[in-house]
Amino acid sequence: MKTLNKTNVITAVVLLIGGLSPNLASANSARDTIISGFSSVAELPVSAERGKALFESSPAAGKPDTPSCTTCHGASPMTSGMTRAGKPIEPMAVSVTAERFTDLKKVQKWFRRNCKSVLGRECTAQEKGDFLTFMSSR
Amino acid sequence: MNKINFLLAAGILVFASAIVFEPARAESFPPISNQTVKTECGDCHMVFFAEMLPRQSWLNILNNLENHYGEDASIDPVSLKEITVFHTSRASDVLNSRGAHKWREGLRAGDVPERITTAPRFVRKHNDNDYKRMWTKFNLVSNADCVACHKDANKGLFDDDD
Repeated sequence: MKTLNKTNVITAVVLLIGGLSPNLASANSARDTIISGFSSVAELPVSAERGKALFESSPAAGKPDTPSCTTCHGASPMTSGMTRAGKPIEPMAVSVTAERFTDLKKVQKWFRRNCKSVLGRECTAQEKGDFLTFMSSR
Repeated sequence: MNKINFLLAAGILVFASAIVFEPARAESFPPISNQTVKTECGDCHMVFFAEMLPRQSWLNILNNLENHYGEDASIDPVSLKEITVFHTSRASDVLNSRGAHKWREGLRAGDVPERITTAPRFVRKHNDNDYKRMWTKFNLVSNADCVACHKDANKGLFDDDD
Protein backbone atom coordinates (compact mmCIF):
# COMPACT_ATOMS: atom_id res chain seq x y z
CA MET A 1 0.00 0.00 0.00
CA LYS A 2 2.82 2.34 0.88
CA THR A 3 4.38 1.96 -2.57
CA LEU A 4 0.98 2.47 -4.17
CA ASN A 5 0.40 5.62 -2.18
CA LYS A 6 3.79 6.94 -3.15
CA THR A 7 3.13 6.15 -6.79
CA ASN A 8 -0.21 7.85 -6.57
CA VAL A 9 1.33 10.93 -5.07
CA ILE A 10 4.00 11.08 -7.75
CA THR A 11 1.39 10.56 -10.47
CA ALA A 12 -0.73 13.33 -8.99
CA VAL A 13 2.22 15.71 -8.83
CA VAL A 14 3.24 14.93 -12.40
CA LEU A 15 -0.33 15.43 -13.60
CA LEU A 16 -0.59 18.68 -11.68
CA ILE A 17 2.64 20.10 -13.08
CA GLY A 18 1.80 18.81 -16.55
CA GLY A 19 -1.69 20.26 -16.42
CA LEU A 20 -1.01 23.60 -14.84
CA SER A 21 2.40 24.76 -15.89
CA PRO A 22 1.77 25.21 -19.62
CA ASN A 23 -1.15 27.57 -18.83
CA LEU A 24 0.85 29.45 -16.24
CA ALA A 25 3.88 29.57 -18.47
CA SER A 26 1.90 30.92 -21.40
CA ALA A 27 0.17 33.50 -19.16
CA ASN A 28 3.54 34.61 -17.81
CA SER A 29 5.03 34.81 -21.26
CA ALA A 30 2.07 36.84 -22.59
CA ARG A 31 2.41 39.24 -19.65
CA ASP A 32 6.19 39.51 -20.09
CA THR A 33 5.66 40.43 -23.74
CA ILE A 34 3.22 43.18 -22.74
CA ILE A 35 5.59 44.57 -20.11
CA SER A 36 8.52 44.46 -22.58
CA GLY A 37 6.40 46.41 -25.03
CA PHE A 38 6.01 49.22 -22.51
CA SER A 39 9.58 49.09 -21.20
CA SER A 40 11.03 49.21 -24.74
CA VAL A 41 9.62 52.73 -25.19
CA ALA A 42 10.03 53.87 -21.56
CA GLU A 43 12.81 56.25 -20.55
CA LEU A 44 13.97 54.30 -17.49
CA PRO A 45 14.09 50.58 -16.75
CA VAL A 46 10.71 49.52 -15.34
CA SER A 47 10.50 49.53 -11.55
CA ALA A 48 8.17 47.72 -9.15
CA GLU A 49 8.85 50.42 -6.53
CA ARG A 50 7.62 53.20 -8.79
CA GLY A 51 4.64 51.02 -9.73
CA LYS A 52 3.81 50.56 -6.05
CA ALA A 53 4.05 54.29 -5.44
CA LEU A 54 1.72 54.97 -8.38
CA PHE A 55 -0.79 52.40 -7.14
CA GLU A 56 -0.79 53.83 -3.62
CA SER A 57 -0.83 57.50 -4.64
CA SER A 58 -3.87 59.73 -4.48
CA PRO A 59 -3.43 62.10 -7.40
CA ALA A 60 -7.08 63.25 -7.29
CA ALA A 61 -6.41 64.83 -10.67
CA GLY A 62 -9.12 63.08 -12.63
CA LYS A 63 -12.76 62.55 -11.79
CA PRO A 64 -13.84 63.45 -8.25
CA ASP A 65 -15.31 60.02 -7.46
CA THR A 66 -12.07 58.18 -8.26
CA PRO A 67 -9.19 60.02 -6.54
CA SER A 68 -6.91 56.94 -6.52
CA CYS A 69 -6.49 53.39 -7.82
CA THR A 70 -7.35 52.11 -4.37
CA THR A 71 -10.80 53.76 -4.45
CA CYS A 72 -12.03 50.75 -6.42
CA HIS A 73 -9.19 48.21 -6.23
CA GLY A 74 -8.78 48.41 -2.44
CA ALA A 75 -5.64 49.16 -0.46
CA SER A 76 -3.90 45.86 -1.27
CA PRO A 77 -3.39 44.27 -4.70
CA MET A 78 -3.69 40.91 -2.93
CA THR A 79 -7.37 41.33 -2.12
CA SER A 80 -10.53 42.00 -4.10
CA GLY A 81 -11.83 45.46 -4.79
CA MET A 82 -15.30 46.67 -5.67
CA THR A 83 -16.62 48.84 -8.48
CA ARG A 84 -18.63 51.90 -7.51
CA ALA A 85 -21.66 49.99 -8.79
CA GLY A 86 -21.07 47.20 -6.29
CA LYS A 87 -19.41 44.50 -8.43
CA PRO A 88 -16.35 42.69 -7.08
CA ILE A 89 -13.00 43.28 -8.82
CA GLU A 90 -10.53 40.40 -8.79
CA PRO A 91 -7.23 41.07 -7.05
CA MET A 92 -4.62 42.59 -9.36
CA ALA A 93 -1.64 40.74 -7.86
CA VAL A 94 -0.53 38.14 -10.38
CA SER A 95 0.19 35.61 -7.62
CA VAL A 96 -3.52 35.68 -6.77
CA THR A 97 -5.08 36.18 -10.21
CA ALA A 98 -2.78 34.37 -12.62
CA GLU A 99 -4.52 35.46 -15.82
CA ARG A 100 -4.11 39.18 -15.07
CA PHE A 101 -2.45 41.41 -17.71
CA THR A 102 -2.19 38.74 -20.40
CA ASP A 103 -4.43 40.40 -23.01
CA LEU A 104 -2.88 43.56 -24.48
CA LYS A 105 -6.18 44.94 -25.77
CA LYS A 106 -7.75 44.61 -22.34
CA VAL A 107 -4.69 46.05 -20.61
CA GLN A 108 -4.70 49.12 -22.91
CA LYS A 109 -8.45 49.62 -22.52
CA TRP A 110 -8.36 49.66 -18.74
CA PHE A 111 -5.20 51.81 -18.50
CA ARG A 112 -6.82 54.33 -20.84
CA ARG A 113 -10.06 54.53 -18.88
CA ASN A 114 -8.70 54.27 -15.37
CA CYS A 115 -5.75 56.62 -15.87
CA LYS A 116 -8.17 59.19 -17.26
CA SER A 117 -10.55 58.64 -14.35
CA VAL A 118 -7.84 58.83 -11.67
CA LEU A 119 -5.06 60.96 -13.20
CA GLY A 120 -7.10 62.97 -15.67
CA ARG A 121 -4.79 61.87 -18.50
CA GLU A 122 -3.53 58.74 -20.18
CA CYS A 123 -0.64 56.97 -18.46
CA THR A 124 2.81 56.92 -20.03
CA ALA A 125 4.48 53.70 -21.18
CA GLN A 126 6.82 54.14 -18.22
CA GLU A 127 3.93 54.24 -15.75
CA LYS A 128 2.22 51.25 -17.34
CA GLY A 129 5.45 49.22 -17.32
CA ASP A 130 6.14 50.15 -13.69
CA PHE A 131 2.61 49.35 -12.63
CA LEU A 132 2.54 45.92 -14.29
CA THR A 133 6.00 45.10 -12.93
CA PHE A 134 4.72 45.85 -9.43
CA MET A 135 1.60 43.72 -9.91
CA SER A 136 3.69 40.88 -11.33
CA SER A 137 5.92 40.99 -8.25
CA ARG A 138 2.94 40.57 -5.92
CA MET B 1 -73.30 34.76 15.11
CA ASN B 2 -75.78 32.95 12.89
CA LYS B 3 -74.79 30.67 10.09
CA ILE B 4 -75.47 33.15 7.27
CA ASN B 5 -73.44 35.89 8.91
CA PHE B 6 -70.63 33.44 9.47
CA LEU B 7 -70.62 32.35 5.84
CA LEU B 8 -70.75 35.97 4.73
CA ALA B 9 -67.80 36.86 6.95
CA ALA B 10 -65.85 33.84 5.73
CA GLY B 11 -66.65 34.77 2.14
CA ILE B 12 -65.44 38.33 2.61
CA LEU B 13 -62.28 37.07 4.26
CA VAL B 14 -61.49 34.72 1.38
CA PHE B 15 -62.20 37.45 -1.16
CA ALA B 16 -60.05 39.99 0.73
CA SER B 17 -57.12 37.60 1.08
CA ALA B 18 -57.30 36.89 -2.64
CA ILE B 19 -56.74 40.61 -3.23
CA VAL B 20 -54.09 41.08 -0.57
CA PHE B 21 -52.14 37.92 -1.28
CA GLU B 22 -52.35 37.91 -5.02
CA PRO B 23 -48.73 37.52 -6.08
CA ALA B 24 -47.32 40.71 -7.57
CA ARG B 25 -46.86 40.30 -11.31
CA ALA B 26 -43.51 41.92 -11.82
CA GLU B 27 -42.33 42.36 -15.39
CA SER B 28 -39.69 40.07 -16.76
CA PHE B 29 -37.15 40.70 -19.48
CA PRO B 30 -35.56 38.18 -21.83
CA PRO B 31 -32.04 37.42 -20.55
CA ILE B 32 -29.30 39.24 -22.46
CA SER B 33 -27.17 36.99 -24.65
CA ASN B 34 -25.20 39.60 -26.63
CA GLN B 35 -21.60 38.95 -25.57
CA THR B 36 -20.35 42.49 -26.30
CA VAL B 37 -23.10 43.98 -24.13
CA LYS B 38 -22.47 41.42 -21.39
CA THR B 39 -18.73 42.06 -21.31
CA GLU B 40 -18.51 45.79 -21.93
CA CYS B 41 -21.39 46.78 -19.64
CA GLY B 42 -21.07 43.93 -17.19
CA ASP B 43 -17.42 44.44 -16.25
CA CYS B 44 -18.41 47.28 -13.92
CA HIS B 45 -22.09 46.86 -13.16
CA MET B 46 -25.05 44.59 -13.61
CA VAL B 47 -26.04 44.43 -17.27
CA PHE B 48 -29.14 46.60 -17.15
CA PHE B 49 -32.07 45.90 -19.41
CA ALA B 50 -32.51 48.20 -22.40
CA GLU B 51 -36.28 48.13 -21.82
CA MET B 52 -35.81 50.27 -18.70
CA LEU B 53 -35.01 53.53 -20.50
CA PRO B 54 -36.28 55.29 -23.62
CA ARG B 55 -34.21 55.46 -26.78
CA GLN B 56 -32.96 59.01 -26.25
CA SER B 57 -31.68 58.15 -22.76
CA TRP B 58 -29.54 55.35 -24.18
CA LEU B 59 -28.24 57.61 -26.96
CA ASN B 60 -27.23 60.25 -24.40
CA ILE B 61 -25.57 57.66 -22.14
CA LEU B 62 -23.74 55.81 -24.91
CA ASN B 63 -22.58 58.97 -26.64
CA ASN B 64 -20.94 60.18 -23.44
CA LEU B 65 -19.15 57.13 -22.05
CA GLU B 66 -16.07 59.28 -21.32
CA ASN B 67 -18.16 60.73 -18.48
CA HIS B 68 -20.12 57.73 -17.29
CA TYR B 69 -21.56 58.43 -13.85
CA GLY B 70 -18.24 59.65 -12.53
CA GLU B 71 -15.88 57.43 -14.53
CA ASP B 72 -14.34 57.14 -17.96
CA ALA B 73 -16.01 54.09 -19.52
CA SER B 74 -15.10 54.78 -23.14
CA ILE B 75 -14.98 51.80 -25.49
CA ASP B 76 -13.85 51.05 -29.03
CA PRO B 77 -16.12 52.34 -31.84
CA VAL B 78 -17.10 48.88 -33.10
CA SER B 79 -18.35 47.72 -29.68
CA LEU B 80 -20.04 51.07 -29.14
CA LYS B 81 -21.99 50.73 -32.38
CA GLU B 82 -23.12 47.20 -31.50
CA ILE B 83 -24.19 48.20 -27.99
CA THR B 84 -26.02 51.27 -29.29
CA VAL B 85 -28.02 49.23 -31.83
CA PHE B 86 -28.81 46.66 -29.13
CA HIS B 87 -30.09 49.25 -26.66
CA THR B 88 -31.95 51.60 -28.98
CA SER B 89 -33.83 48.71 -30.62
CA ARG B 90 -35.01 47.46 -27.22
CA ALA B 91 -35.67 50.83 -25.53
CA SER B 92 -38.83 51.29 -23.46
CA ASP B 93 -40.44 53.51 -26.12
CA VAL B 94 -39.36 51.25 -28.99
CA LEU B 95 -39.86 47.60 -28.08
CA ASN B 96 -43.34 46.15 -27.94
CA SER B 97 -43.03 43.92 -24.88
CA ARG B 98 -44.61 43.74 -21.46
CA GLY B 99 -41.41 44.94 -19.79
CA ALA B 100 -40.93 47.85 -22.17
CA HIS B 101 -44.59 48.88 -21.79
CA LYS B 102 -44.25 48.91 -18.00
CA TRP B 103 -41.15 51.07 -18.15
CA ARG B 104 -42.62 53.62 -20.55
CA GLU B 105 -45.63 54.16 -18.27
CA GLY B 106 -45.41 57.58 -16.67
CA LEU B 107 -42.90 58.93 -19.18
CA ARG B 108 -44.14 62.17 -20.71
CA ALA B 109 -43.22 63.24 -24.21
CA GLY B 110 -39.70 64.62 -24.12
CA ASP B 111 -38.78 62.93 -20.81
CA VAL B 112 -35.22 61.65 -21.01
CA PRO B 113 -34.28 60.04 -17.67
CA GLU B 114 -30.53 60.21 -17.07
CA ARG B 115 -30.58 57.08 -14.94
CA ILE B 116 -32.72 54.00 -14.47
CA THR B 117 -33.21 55.12 -10.87
CA THR B 118 -34.95 58.29 -12.08
CA ALA B 119 -37.23 56.48 -14.54
CA PRO B 120 -40.86 56.73 -13.35
CA ARG B 121 -41.28 52.99 -12.82
CA PHE B 122 -38.17 52.68 -10.68
CA VAL B 123 -39.23 55.64 -8.56
CA ARG B 124 -42.74 54.24 -8.15
CA LYS B 125 -41.54 50.74 -7.23
CA HIS B 126 -38.86 51.83 -4.75
CA ASN B 127 -40.73 54.57 -2.97
CA ASP B 128 -41.33 52.77 0.32
CA ASN B 129 -39.72 51.67 3.55
CA ASP B 130 -38.87 48.22 2.17
CA TYR B 131 -36.34 49.83 -0.16
CA LYS B 132 -34.70 51.76 2.68
CA ARG B 133 -34.74 48.64 4.86
CA MET B 134 -33.00 46.60 2.13
CA TRP B 135 -30.12 49.08 1.96
CA THR B 136 -29.32 48.44 5.59
CA LYS B 137 -30.10 44.74 5.48
CA PHE B 138 -27.79 43.97 2.56
CA ASN B 139 -25.24 46.67 3.35
CA LEU B 140 -25.61 48.12 -0.13
CA VAL B 141 -23.05 50.47 -1.63
CA SER B 142 -24.90 51.36 -4.82
CA ASN B 143 -28.45 51.44 -6.13
CA ALA B 144 -26.99 50.02 -9.35
CA ASP B 145 -26.62 46.71 -7.54
CA CYS B 146 -30.08 45.31 -8.39
CA VAL B 147 -28.97 41.73 -7.70
CA ALA B 148 -28.44 42.50 -4.02
CA CYS B 149 -32.21 42.44 -3.51
CA HIS B 150 -33.58 41.00 -6.77
CA LYS B 151 -31.63 37.74 -6.74
CA ASP B 152 -32.71 36.73 -10.25
CA ALA B 153 -32.24 40.19 -11.78
CA ASN B 154 -29.56 38.94 -14.15
CA LYS B 155 -32.11 36.52 -15.59
CA GLY B 156 -34.54 39.39 -16.12
CA LEU B 157 -36.73 38.55 -13.13
CA PHE B 158 -37.53 41.32 -10.66
CA ASP B 159 -40.01 39.89 -8.18
CA ASP B 160 -41.09 42.24 -5.43
CA ASP B 161 -40.44 39.93 -2.54
CA ASP B 162 -36.96 38.57 -3.20
